Amino acid sequence: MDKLLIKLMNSFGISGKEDEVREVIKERLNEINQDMQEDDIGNVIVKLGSGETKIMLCTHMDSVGFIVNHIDDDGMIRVSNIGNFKKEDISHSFIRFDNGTLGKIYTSVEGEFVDIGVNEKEDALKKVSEGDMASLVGPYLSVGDNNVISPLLHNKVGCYILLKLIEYVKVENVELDFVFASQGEIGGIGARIAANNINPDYCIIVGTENATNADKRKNNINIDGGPVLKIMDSSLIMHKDIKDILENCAKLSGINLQYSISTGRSEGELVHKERIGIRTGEIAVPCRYKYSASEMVSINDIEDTIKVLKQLENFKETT
Amino acid sequence: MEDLDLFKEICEAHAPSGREDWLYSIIEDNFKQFGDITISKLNNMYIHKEGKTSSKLMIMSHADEVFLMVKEITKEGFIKFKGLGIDAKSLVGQEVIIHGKENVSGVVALKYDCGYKGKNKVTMEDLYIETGFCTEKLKSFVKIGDYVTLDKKMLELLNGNVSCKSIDNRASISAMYVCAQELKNVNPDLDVYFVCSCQEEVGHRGAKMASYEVKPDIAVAIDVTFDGGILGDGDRENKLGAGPVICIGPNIHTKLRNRIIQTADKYNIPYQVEVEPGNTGTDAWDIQTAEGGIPTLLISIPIKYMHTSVEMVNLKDIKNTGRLLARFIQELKEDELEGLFCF
Amino acid sequence: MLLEKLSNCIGPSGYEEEIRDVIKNELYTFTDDVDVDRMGNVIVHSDGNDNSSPKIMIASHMDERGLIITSYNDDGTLKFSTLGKMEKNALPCKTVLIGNKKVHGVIGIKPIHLQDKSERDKNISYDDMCIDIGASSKDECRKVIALGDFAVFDNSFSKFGDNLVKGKALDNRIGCSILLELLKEKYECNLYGVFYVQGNIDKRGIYTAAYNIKPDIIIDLDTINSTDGEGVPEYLKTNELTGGPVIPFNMEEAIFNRDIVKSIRNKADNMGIVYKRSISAKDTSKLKQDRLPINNCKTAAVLIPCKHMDYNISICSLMDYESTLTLIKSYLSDL
Repeated sequence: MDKLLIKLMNSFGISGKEDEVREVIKERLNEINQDMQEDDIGNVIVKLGSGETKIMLCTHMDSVGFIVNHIDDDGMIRVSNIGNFKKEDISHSFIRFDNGTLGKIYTSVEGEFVDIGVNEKEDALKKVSEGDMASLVGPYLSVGDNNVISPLLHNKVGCYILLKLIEYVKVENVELDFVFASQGEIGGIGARIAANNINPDYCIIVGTENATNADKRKNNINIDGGPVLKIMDSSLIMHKDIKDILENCAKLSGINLQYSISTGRSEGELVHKERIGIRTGEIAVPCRYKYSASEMVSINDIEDTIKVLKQLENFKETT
Repeated sequence: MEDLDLFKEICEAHAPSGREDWLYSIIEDNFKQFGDITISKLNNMYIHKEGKTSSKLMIMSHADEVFLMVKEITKEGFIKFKGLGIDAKSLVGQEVIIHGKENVSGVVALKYDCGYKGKNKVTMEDLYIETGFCTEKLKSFVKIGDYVTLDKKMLELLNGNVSCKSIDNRASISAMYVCAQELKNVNPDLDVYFVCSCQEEVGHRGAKMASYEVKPDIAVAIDVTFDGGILGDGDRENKLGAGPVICIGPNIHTKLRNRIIQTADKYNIPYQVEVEPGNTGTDAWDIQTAEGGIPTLLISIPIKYMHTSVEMVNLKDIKNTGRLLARFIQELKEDELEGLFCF
Repeated sequence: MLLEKLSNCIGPSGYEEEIRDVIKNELYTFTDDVDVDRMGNVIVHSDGNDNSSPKIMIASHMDERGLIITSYNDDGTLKFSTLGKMEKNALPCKTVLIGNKKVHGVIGIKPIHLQDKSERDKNISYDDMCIDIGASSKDECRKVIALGDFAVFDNSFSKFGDNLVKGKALDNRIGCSILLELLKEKYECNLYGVFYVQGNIDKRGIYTAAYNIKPDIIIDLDTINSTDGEGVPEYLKTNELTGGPVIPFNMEEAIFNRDIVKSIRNKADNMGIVYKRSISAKDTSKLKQDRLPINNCKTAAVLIPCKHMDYNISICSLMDYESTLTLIKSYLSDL
């Protein structure tokens, strides 16, 4: 598996505290001699090409995580969620705090607790304080044909895709604005600000989408089935122009798309309402067990998504 | 009502959230006599009637209707769908149109074990659409993500009541038409923007975009509301035929609301009032906090059986809503605004 | 198209006036031997040349499922019940025509936004629905609609999908249409065509018609619920659309005469007409031998698959129509 993806997965990045992952992204951009900008909220923006049309490609750097609310007398650390996910899906997982302290998380009716292996509050306070942030952490497993299991694939996969695109795309007569957005998991905040500043003609969000899990009753999205166009979720309806553009890109690159209608939320939810309205849509990598401690994606899907989006380098307005 | 034909045409037309542009040509044909028309990339439609001054008033009615969306095509050729805003209980035996490569006629049916054993309530999962085509043929013109809308013709009932699909919110667009007609030969102070907004039914999304575009000094949202009858909301006093319903509550600018009530009294236009303690669930909610804050009004047309194919409205209410707004716009002078807006 | 004309006619169980007139007028275009009995059944006699042939009666009920007005609500809306068994879940939000004056009405329910959790979680009942004609008070409503007025659904007939048709009342206007076409031909046998009333209320008309005619053979030409919906278990998939007519040996406890059934089936086999054998006939009206007020009558049934026959709108296959018509024509020609 690509070292860049591994590096991204190992970097700490929770909504509001994305320093480590931002550094990995900036370091990579420096390695390929690519200029970038950082705005006030922490978005990293790369502008490639120039032309009459502006297309913004956006993905968020942050992942879901936890924030410390209170430390009990017995040294157990009460946390609450940052981002929207089910606590049952992450119980008994490995945890890392932003300062490197390790532990595990346990959820019960009483609440969510991180155990860092101490028995007294004072010992806990030596390592951790209220307001500290924690993230899932763990090794990755290569399984099946070309699949990987790991925590935090959402949304490091998105960052990986944009970094690869920046490296390989050869832009003709269009301006492509790549945005690594902050605070995506708590409502697409960075994305909105970037969209307001850039004011693009089109905005394509790159993310992940729930694929059929072991519980079988979910949707018709499969890993290794191709990139997913999120036609509609509870926050965004894909604009028909974005659908046409992405379908065209897929046709040119000979890749099959899947279509999803779901109840999730998209980072584009605030972007499309920005200014006079921005044509927005999301293309996603299918991901099993999304927002759990061990998500699964197919590397083939990641590579196919890159191939589809690379076609944007030749973008021409059709009307 | 003279323009029942237009009302009938726009109700029977199909424009689900995201494809309000399917209504565009009818709106353009009928509203172009009132002002300049533009349509944004996200399908907000603006009709601009220039006024004497540069103080702007925006009237907004959402153009989209509730809909279903194709989620899956089974191997027997049945369509499973996701519903947006429509009660599953109202759908069994309903005729629909699937907007694929071609428009396909369909009928919604109940899954086998549901109807037979008559157990629990009907949910979207228990429903499917059949088209009479086998799956191969169907897949050649329908795919996942295609829109499905109700197929219904308008019906005239007693006392000027009519029933059709999409009275929410085509009745408001019709009221805007009446207002524009009444103002046709009038030159008001205010610069008027009639806006047919997009994607209200999925979260009043068009409201913010339109407010950014127009930057109005005052906004009036027109939508529909529940009647107070046996199958309506017993806490409201709204009655079909008794006039437009003026909303009272924190979402509504108090002085502006009193001003429009004054206008109604002056011209003897019948009206009703209703109270909304918080989110009105309409475009008015997002308009009020857009830009630097916009003084907002909400005028609603009472209807029965909301979000079903047999929504019912009284034509007198549409006419009176249009008339009330026209008189309000006509009367409002630019120099009044400061006084109205200061706290 | 004849089927279209019949489907769009009005005639719910117990109130078959309009459809009776339409059928009579159709019959008068080719025969004079038309009679109406005391219950309202239309009886046509087509005497062939063969004096030794048995009396054969082919019967098709002309009524459809509909509604009947039971009381007035205080706000000017109406309470109703059904004529014939209907799928209750298919009632909300349909358009109806009430009475001989064909007053328009809609069946309304409470908007979903206003239903509390207990209302959302339960099955729909008659108390949750009303018929609304736009009247503003009980008094106004009383002047327009009388208690006991019947109502039918306002769905028009049209082509549908792949060689299918949809419309109201396909149960059993499709049977009536086939019977009318059958009667246009001349046969050797002694044929009675009966368009009977109240078919959906336990087939009451057929027994009185049989009493008057005293046939040797009765073939009931009716519809059967087609089982190609979603979620049907494999063992119940017995009568799909386009699978041809259903020619059963029995419909649950209603046992038919095996010889007659076999001879119809043999005819179908000889002609290469596809047909279905077994059926699931829950909740359907059946022709019961023990209720026939005559002796020595052999009964059989030929049933046309009809999807959603207990909804406001149902679906049939034109292929099934043609094959059923052809089959019975040849069967009668042989007698």
